[in-house]
Amino acid sequence: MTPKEYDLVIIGSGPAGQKAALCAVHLGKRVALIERDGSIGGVCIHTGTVPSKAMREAVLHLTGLRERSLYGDSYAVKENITMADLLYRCHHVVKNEVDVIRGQMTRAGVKMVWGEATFLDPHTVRVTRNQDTIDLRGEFMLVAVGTEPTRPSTVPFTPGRVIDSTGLLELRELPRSIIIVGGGVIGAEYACTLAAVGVDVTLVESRPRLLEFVDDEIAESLQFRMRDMNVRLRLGESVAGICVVDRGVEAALASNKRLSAETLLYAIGRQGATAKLNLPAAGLEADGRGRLKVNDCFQTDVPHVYAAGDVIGFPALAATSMEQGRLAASHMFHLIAEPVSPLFPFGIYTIPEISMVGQTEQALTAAGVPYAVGMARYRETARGQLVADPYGMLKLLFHADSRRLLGVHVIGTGATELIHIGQAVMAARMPIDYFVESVFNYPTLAECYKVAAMNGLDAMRLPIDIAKAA
Amino acid sequence: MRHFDLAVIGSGPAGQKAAIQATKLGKTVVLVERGNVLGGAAINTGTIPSKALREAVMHLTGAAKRGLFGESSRMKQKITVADLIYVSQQVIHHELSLIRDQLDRNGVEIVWGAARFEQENVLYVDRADDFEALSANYFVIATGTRPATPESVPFDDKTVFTSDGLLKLDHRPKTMIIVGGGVIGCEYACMMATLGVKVTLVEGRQEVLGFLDHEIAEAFQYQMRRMGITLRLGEKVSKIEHIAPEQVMGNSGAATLAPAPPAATPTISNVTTNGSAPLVQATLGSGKNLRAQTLLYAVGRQGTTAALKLDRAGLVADDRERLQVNEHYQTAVPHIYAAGDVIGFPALASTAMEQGRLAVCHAFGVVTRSIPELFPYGVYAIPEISMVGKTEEQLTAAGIPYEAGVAQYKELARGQLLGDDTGLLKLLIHQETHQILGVHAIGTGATELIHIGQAVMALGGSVDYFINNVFNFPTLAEAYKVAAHNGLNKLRHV
Repeated sequence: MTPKEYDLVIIGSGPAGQKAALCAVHLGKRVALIERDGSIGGVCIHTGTVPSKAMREAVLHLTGLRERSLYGDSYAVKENITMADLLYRCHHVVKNEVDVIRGQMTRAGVKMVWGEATFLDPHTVRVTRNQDTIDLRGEFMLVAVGTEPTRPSTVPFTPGRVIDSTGLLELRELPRSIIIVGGGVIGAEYACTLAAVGVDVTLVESRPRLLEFVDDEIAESLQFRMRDMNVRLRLGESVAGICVVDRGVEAALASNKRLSAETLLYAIGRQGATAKLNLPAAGLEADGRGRLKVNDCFQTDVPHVYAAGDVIGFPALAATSMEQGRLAASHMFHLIAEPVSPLFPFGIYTIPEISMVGQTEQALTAAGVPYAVGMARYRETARGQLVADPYGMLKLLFHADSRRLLGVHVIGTGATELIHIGQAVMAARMPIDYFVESVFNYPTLAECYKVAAMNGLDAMRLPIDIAKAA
Repeated sequence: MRHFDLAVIGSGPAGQKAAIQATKLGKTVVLVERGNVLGGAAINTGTIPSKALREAVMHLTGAAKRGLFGESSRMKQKITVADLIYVSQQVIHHELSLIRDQLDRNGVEIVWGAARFEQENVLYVDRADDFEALSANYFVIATGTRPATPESVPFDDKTVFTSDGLLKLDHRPKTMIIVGGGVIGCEYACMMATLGVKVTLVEGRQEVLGFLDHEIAEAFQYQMRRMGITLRLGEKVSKIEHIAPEQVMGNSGAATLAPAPPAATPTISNVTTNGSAPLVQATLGSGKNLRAQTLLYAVGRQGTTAALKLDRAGLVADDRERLQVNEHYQTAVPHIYAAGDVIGFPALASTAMEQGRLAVCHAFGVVTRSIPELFPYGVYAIPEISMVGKTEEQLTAAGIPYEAGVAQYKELARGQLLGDDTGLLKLLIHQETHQILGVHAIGTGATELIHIGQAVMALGGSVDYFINNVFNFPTLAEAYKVAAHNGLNKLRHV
């Protein structure tokens, strides 16, 4: 069989693969994009980012949670919320996203190839779909296969009982109680979403705190809010054993405590989905977690084979993956592209949502950078009152001498949107005076930037100057 | 007679920030407020009540969510006026205590009463049973505006009212004529329509919200019509009068706005209207007659300086009782400053705060580097609208070559999640330098989103900023990136 020839063969149609494909076809290249049946868009669309956010949005709405501080704690839009309610919108959004991506690829002239890919040699992959196979040869190759949940053999995965985040979306009914193992982004997000609909949640995390990369104060604030939603946090505890029992599942902790619930969500770690790629045929080897190492230009050890997205590890965000895909394709075809800014925001869709850009207090302290803090509570702004989010807060970290903005940390309504204002100011390497000197729409949450900047400058008792107002 | 470094008249956004700025500079400050509450129109009758009402309307009617989560999820079926008022009162109450706290904490002396100038350095403050004389080195006049109430309009606070009167309505009317397609008219038109009121909006110009980018204004008008609002553009109201219901009975054909059958939208429980409710009729210059249960007159606001006896201080207000100031917010009398709505355009709470602050900085010789000309505009209609910088029309008139990059919310995962399939964000990009010249957004969160573009503009960034930076996924902020790519793609073909 003579392989079909392409300038670029991409394995995986998630954010990284899509953007690489679009970039390459814009440069006039012939591009093939390989994806397993029906799952165009990758984990991001089907089992990860989008479904979890759609579910969260449904929960916030149906429970009336957003409005409870205005209408009282018993306020709810719908009683007896079911899994079907939560996924109603999700299916629509997923279908729409799939249509949008498929349309984009088709219009752009990207050849979609359906099936499972394996390398035959460094330039050739075989795509298998049912009994059919087709071989594709690429001048360049891009591995953008993403990740899948880690499934250790010691964990007795059982549908409906012991599940990973993919299995959670397949549940027919909401469990009454759930143990979530792992306090990373996935564990924390699902813990909040499920607790909000009234599921009894116990979250086990071996570190003393959730979300280790987040600023201490923000993470503690989240923990407070989660406990307030009746989530039991078992921090600094590890799971020694999990067994499926008659009416549910039991987890034994190393401290000898026993936890039992209807369902257990195992949310520790994700690994590169490279097992079926036959990487050795391409002259490549994945690390212990199935991931590929790349250089600054996203080249693997085999220079014409690139990798981008979650499969190369940190930061593993949909947003950064898109940029990586675009930059990898730019590098292949000698398009000069500015490297992606190292300053990317993190967005965590817990309840309340969290977002950050730049350094945390603990990182600055460790690095010996003298910094000062400016704090704004949402309740200090009119908009915070209107959206009824009294606990939201925005924190600016700035250099004590130059006043340059070093980090922004937000927890509360709209955090993931708000962060981009601070990001723009950080990218311009500006002092926080920008916020004092600018006019913000009133009433908006964005005013928190002004309140926080003034608070920070006040707290430093800076000499009387432009920055001194309330 | 007590003496202060600064006397501020009016406790709205401009007055508050002026007073606090001065105390932070170590000055003694007195704040004179005529009403019996602080906060001015922004808190008590204007910005905040209308936004609180909007938030309540959006939520109670499920306007933002209808259909997204299946049929069962329409919010409370019965919206009582009490529900709406409760929410907005709560917010107002909190805002007031916030302001009070801030002023107290900073040591601002508050004097209640109506201020009038006696001399150019002396104020008399009149109260019910006494008065007090105060002197100061500097003054900030921040008395704001009130709705214009021309004598030809038969205001009665029940059927014909201004925006102040609308907030006192104790029932939801079935029909409303709104005269004036400015910010106030448009915001209330959207809210009322969302509540199921049948609204006709009359505007003398060919387009509502004349300051907006044309494309955005058109998108907005399209959406208003989709909500069931009737727009009468380019039409002037020549006469407004009350008519007895029986006049209508025999003339139902002409009653373009006669009470509609019970709306399918949420019902207000304590609607008191019935067949014999009085009606108001507006006659247009084109000869059309509009009839409705209520009429909101929202054409213009005027300064509230008549009681200040400005002549004693050597000042003259214009024919709409407003004051003219220079770039430092000084009036013709150098030690008397004016800030906020009372000086006219742009008359936003946000700019008022900055003006108050800047006026005081100038008075006490503090150098500022402020860039208030790059202020954002926020319109809390349904959907929200916001802009910063220039419109396409302004750029074309100025002969500046630009390209527009557009992102539709429906292209964004977040737009899908929110179910906002009509929102859009537009970047105006200089064809040669790629500088951002303007940002225009209509849709969910527009008033928040605009600040990202504002920061990039203020800090001299070009459209490349949006290309080279990572945005959270899924957010509406990604619209900037999509719009930037869209604009650059168009520029490549130039």
